[in-house]
Amino acid sequence: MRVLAFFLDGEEYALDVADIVEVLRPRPVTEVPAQPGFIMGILCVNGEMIPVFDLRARLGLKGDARPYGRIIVAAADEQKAGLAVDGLLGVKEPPLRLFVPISQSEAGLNRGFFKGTFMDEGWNIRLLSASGIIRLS
Amino acid sequence: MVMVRTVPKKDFKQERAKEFLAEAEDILSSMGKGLVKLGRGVKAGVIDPVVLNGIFRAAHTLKGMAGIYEFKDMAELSHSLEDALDSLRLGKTTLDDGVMGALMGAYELLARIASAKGGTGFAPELASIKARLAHTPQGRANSEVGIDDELKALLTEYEEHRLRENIRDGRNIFMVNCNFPIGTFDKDYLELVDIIKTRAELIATLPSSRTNHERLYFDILLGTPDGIAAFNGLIGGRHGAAVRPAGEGRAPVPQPQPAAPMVGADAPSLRRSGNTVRVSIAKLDRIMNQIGELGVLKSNLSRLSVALKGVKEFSIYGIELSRTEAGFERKLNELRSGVLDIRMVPIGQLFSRFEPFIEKLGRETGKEVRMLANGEETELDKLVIEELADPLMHIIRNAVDHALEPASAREAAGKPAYGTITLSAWQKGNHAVVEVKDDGCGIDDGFVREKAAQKGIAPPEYLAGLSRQEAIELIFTPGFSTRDTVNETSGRGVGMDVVKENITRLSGAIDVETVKGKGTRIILTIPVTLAIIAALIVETSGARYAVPLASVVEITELRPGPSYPARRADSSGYVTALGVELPAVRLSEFFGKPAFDRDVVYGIIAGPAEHRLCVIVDRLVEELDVIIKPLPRMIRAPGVAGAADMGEKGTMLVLDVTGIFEEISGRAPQRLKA
Repeated sequence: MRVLAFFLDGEEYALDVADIVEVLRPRPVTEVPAQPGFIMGILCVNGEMIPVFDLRARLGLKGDARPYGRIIVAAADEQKAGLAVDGLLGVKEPPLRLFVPISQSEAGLNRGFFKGTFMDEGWNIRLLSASGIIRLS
Repeated sequence: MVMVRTVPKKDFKQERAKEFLAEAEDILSSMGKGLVKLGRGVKAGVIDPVVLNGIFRAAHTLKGMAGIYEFKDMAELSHSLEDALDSLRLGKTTLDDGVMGALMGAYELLARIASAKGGTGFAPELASIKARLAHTPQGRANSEVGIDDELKALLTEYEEHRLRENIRDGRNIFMVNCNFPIGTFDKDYLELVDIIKTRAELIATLPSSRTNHERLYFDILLGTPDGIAAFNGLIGGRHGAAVRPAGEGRAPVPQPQPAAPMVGADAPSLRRSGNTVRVSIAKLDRIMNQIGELGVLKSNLSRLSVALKGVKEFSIYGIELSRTEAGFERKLNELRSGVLDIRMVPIGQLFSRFEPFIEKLGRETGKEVRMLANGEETELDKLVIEELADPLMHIIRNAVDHALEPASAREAAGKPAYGTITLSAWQKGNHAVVEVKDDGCGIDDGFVREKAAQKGIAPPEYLAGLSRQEAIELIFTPGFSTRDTVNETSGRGVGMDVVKENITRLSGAIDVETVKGKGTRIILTIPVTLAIIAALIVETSGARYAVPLASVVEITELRPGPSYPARRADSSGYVTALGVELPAVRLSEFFGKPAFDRDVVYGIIAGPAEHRLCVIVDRLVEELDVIIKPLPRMIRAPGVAGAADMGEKGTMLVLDVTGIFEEISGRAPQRLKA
């Protein structure tokens, strides 16, 4: 499985490359009033307005706010969103046998953001679910 | 592209099917007329190729459309019909009474499938009609008339067939060499063709290799009963036209040029319609997006040229680059307006759809109704036209149903027995005004007040205090309907409140003018295009916003004083402007941002009359045309209509003045809480 890995608060996370549209360098995001805290604003990508999420805030991570290094544009269920991350690690191919899916009880707790983790043999990447992150309940 | 995919209309497919069926009806009616003519021709022993071609074209179009909209039976049948007609027009089969019967049978079945909205269950009939269409007698062999091989190589099968028919009928075959300036060739060509057609059959238009950058050269092959001198006289040397007998003295042999205009279609009559193309709006949106991206590239160039100008040894290149960039920008603007122009279609397309609708309403209500149309050439964005279809339909339905009196009452009032619905359109700045006028009984404000009280829309004392016009405008209030009984037409319809909502969604306004006993006008004022709007760019608390200029009534400078009680604790208050007290709101506070302290601010008075308010901003920046795009689906922001991509200036929110008004006036309390 090919994933795009990136940093958030010094930890490694990844998204399935199939869910990724493109990666953007930081650029001004237009703030929209009356939005949840994790929505940084909107951005025009290829003529389409997409929301940009502060991924750290979306995942509920506690770390200090810091300037983001990249915006990953991901698509799920015919919707797109930009996800601001600290920096890219690049495309990786972790062996599938190392994948530990998240348990049902945990899945409920983290609102479908995580699919599981690639662990051992030097790997420690949390695999995120693009649709879980983009879909707003 | 993606935009289209991510904002599907729920009933999009159904809408399109409806649109198709309406168009199919038009096509079928023209096909029906053609068949009647053809039938008369068969009896008289003369078959007009123009009529036959018209029917062929109708079947061809229907086949294509039915295929696109997945009406399987209709696609299959029109395909068989097209095949049969093709053989006929190529002379491969002969048109006799039996074939004529099969054609009529196919046409009738098509009409029935269309009126059953493409329903199923036609399979057995379909099979039998198809079999009849396939069984057609052989036509005359084509080999009996010889044609010059060189010429034959240039002709399509159909053209070759028509040439043979002309020779067989003993007509003279001429070649007309002509040429036109590139800029006006389409018009000039049609003009010449019209003249030729008065005395001849146009067999083929062949491009000539003499075509250069300024002029297009054509050789027109035709058959005529006239002699060469008479025909030369008819053409009168127009467009350098010289008439020669075909096959001799033909100037430089025309080579087939597949890319040249007028070639490629398989019959002259199909070619004529080749001057226009149908393009999906999605494709145009894609181009529009690409233009937006070019704008971003342009701003990169601009940055680069500024940087180069700052470096001494490169400054000359910087100046050169900025000059190039200016030219690029000009061309880009031309391209943008060109694409916008393509989206514009005359409203007559929409008006003509209402004619059968009004006729049908008349039949259902037992009233005789006529429709008049004015200003059909007024152009609007295709999307706006489609969005107008439903509101107009409801307005017309209401007019026929409630406004037009029965014939006896009309005559008693000294009016013609038939009622008239007049649809008019005209352009007014970057807006179009569309008016539906009836000559019915008018709206009685007393009746409206009474109904409003009955429906509990407002207390009677409030209603009594309203002016006549204000009372009449109650018809746009949700929950209001003067209908006493649900009937066939309006029973399925919706209230005027929904019509108003639809028009407001188009950033338009709806007005009503009525004279008791004389009639009513419903006047819609809508932007000609939704894609691009003229906007006033404003700044407040350091952020910029676009305000659609169409909604702006006036801009005033506000200083603290009696007319502007500044620095109020709450975000909204009132200002006195245009001689009245208007609700006012500071944009910064509305959007929950800290207000900057300023002595002078600007009040933008905007919105339709009954929703007018004053939006207070820090600074006016400029006026710009902006391309408005919808917000992402997951973002709901009251007071924001969309966003505009400004290239180098970033993305800007476009304000929805009516939305702001509704928020602050507490008309949408449920949204305030959310």
